Amino acid sequence: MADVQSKPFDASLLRRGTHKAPLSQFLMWLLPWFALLGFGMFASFLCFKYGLNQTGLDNRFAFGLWIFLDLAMIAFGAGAFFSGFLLYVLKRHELKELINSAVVMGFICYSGAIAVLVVDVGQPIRAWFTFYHPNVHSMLAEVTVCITCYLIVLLIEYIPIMLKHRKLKSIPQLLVFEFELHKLMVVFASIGTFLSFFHQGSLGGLYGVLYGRPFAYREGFAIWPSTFFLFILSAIAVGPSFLILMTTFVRKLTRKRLVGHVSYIFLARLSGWLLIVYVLAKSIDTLIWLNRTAPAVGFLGFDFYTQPEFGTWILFAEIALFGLLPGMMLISKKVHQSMPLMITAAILACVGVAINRYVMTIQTLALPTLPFEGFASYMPSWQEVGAFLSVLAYGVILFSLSYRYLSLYPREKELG
Amino acid sequence: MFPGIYEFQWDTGHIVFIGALLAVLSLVGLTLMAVLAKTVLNFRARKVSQIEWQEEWNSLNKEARRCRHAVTGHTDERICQRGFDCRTCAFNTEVGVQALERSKQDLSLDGSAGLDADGAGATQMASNDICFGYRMPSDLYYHRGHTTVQPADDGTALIGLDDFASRLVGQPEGIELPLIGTRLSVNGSGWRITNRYGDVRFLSPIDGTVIETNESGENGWYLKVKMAQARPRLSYLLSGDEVRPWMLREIERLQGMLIPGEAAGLADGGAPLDNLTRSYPNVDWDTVWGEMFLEG
Repeated sequence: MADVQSKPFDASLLRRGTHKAPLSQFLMWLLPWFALLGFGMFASFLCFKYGLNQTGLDNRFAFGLWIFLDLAMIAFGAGAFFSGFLLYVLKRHELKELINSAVVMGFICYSGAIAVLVVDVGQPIRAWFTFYHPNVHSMLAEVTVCITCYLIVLLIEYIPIMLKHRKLKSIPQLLVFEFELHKLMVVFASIGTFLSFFHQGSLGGLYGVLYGRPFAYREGFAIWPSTFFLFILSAIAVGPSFLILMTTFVRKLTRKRLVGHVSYIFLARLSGWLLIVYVLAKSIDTLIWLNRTAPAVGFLGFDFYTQPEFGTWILFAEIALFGLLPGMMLISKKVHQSMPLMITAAILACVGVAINRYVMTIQTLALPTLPFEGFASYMPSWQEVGAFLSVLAYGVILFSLSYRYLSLYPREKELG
Repeated sequence: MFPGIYEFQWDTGHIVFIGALLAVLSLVGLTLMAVLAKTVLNFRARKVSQIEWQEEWNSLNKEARRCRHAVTGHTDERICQRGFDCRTCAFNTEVGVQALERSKQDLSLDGSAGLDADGAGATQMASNDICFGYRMPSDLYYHRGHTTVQPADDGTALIGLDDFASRLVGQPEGIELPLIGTRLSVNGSGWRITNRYGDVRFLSPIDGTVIETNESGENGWYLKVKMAQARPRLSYLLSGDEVRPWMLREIERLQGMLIPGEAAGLADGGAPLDNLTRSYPNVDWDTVWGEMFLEG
């Protein structure tokens, strides 16, 4: 345990007892990600300089790759608020060893989504309009404000993790501040849950209220369409699966056991049951939509699936293959004993929610609604892909730095 | 739109939206202000040391948090619940009373001594001051973090490191001692040493005010402290017969870290090396010190 073959150059900044790679190796790991970040920032710069004609977006396809990835990232980032709610409000201590990494992942997902949105809006200098002149009847205004507030909450939750760094905690003022902040974390976890509930839901509500898009339009409860609730359910269902995936990925990269198996099982069970509830709700919603909502505006349900790219296979895939199947797997005791099966189920769950976000964004816009319209196709430009890849690179860099210098996995020393 | 901006009109949507936004921002702001206020209050109440130790305590592993009475064999395996502050520990008092009864019986039988009513060891160790090759004088009190206290009759005490810690740390290259006048508290930060292998802080074993410092550590002390009480009860520290079993455990812990994966075995008759860091240069001493001197 206490043997050191080659002590990293920055050893005095590292957490005691956790053996990290030499600094040179770490920098080599970061180098390609910085290169990707640079490439993506150049792509974003082109969009700022020349406008959104750098992308594959147009008047028909106002939402494209960026919005799809934003929605997916925000869904995956739900693991942060849900873990915080379960740990601090419901006192589920199984999540104690995962909460720090969940907060960092959530912060990366949300800040990355906002970064992409800054490019996507076309004129980011006028982004303040959203806050100064919010259309309070718009789901999008509510989403924007909630996500901004939640990012502030995530930053506040990130601060104690940073302040626990061995050099920072030697400063008495910061030590005591962190101590007191952590005692009141239940308040921030509750606020985060409230904000996330509404913005996750409103992202779904955004599509559900589009009465001009029968593929997306849904009936619901009061002002909230069913997609409001389905998006929340799917987000809290996939959040734990995403946590399982990311923790496993970090474990494979670092070759260290970071969390106990009990935590994996807890997350798997949680994700599995929530997925099953989501699939049930989604199936009922789909049946209502196919048999009542869509026909009421003149569409037969399967009119929406005539294109081979968006055939009925995609509906089956979303609900059965990438929804019900991983849900059943994740609650199975046999799967709990097998990491490869658990990871497979987690991947399927994440893909399922990504497919849901994809069809709600891309398929909604691709399908014609007026008699003279045809099926529209969309292909993202390299600038769009580049901008997204820069967010991925940013996420990897920030997580890598956090893992190296902060205590993301409290049991790393004990288990590693 | 917000009130005051042209064409703004109050309606349900605005009331709900603005109300929720204000509620969230107010709650976040008020909570942060409460945190800042509590931080300031903690400083004024001189609770910094207490908080620092609580944070360190939470990061220690179970092995390091064993109850002193489990270490000395007076009870079954038990983890300390009070951060090694035995002064107000009901279990410590209970064990001490039981042991006092036993020692009274033993004394009446064969004259041997045991623990006193506070759970402390007798003032004399059963054998001489050498314990597994380490010099552990019987007139000292020992903190679990390997700092020592030598009280004097004038209400002062000398604080230093025990022989085990001194050999483990070797010759420090740098030392940060508290300023004269600094108030120390039990389990609070005492002083910090650094050398090429890392740095570690040592815990203060007593409450008091620093009146003199000794940077060289000559004669075995670093700080001279005016104790908070003229004649404090130091029974919460280890002394007498408790030292030997404690040292055995500490040596086992150290061996486990220096030679991982092998069963710790104590060589009979061997003398501990003067400077372990020089003898084992490839060991991650920063980690070892953290474990042995209770710094997370």
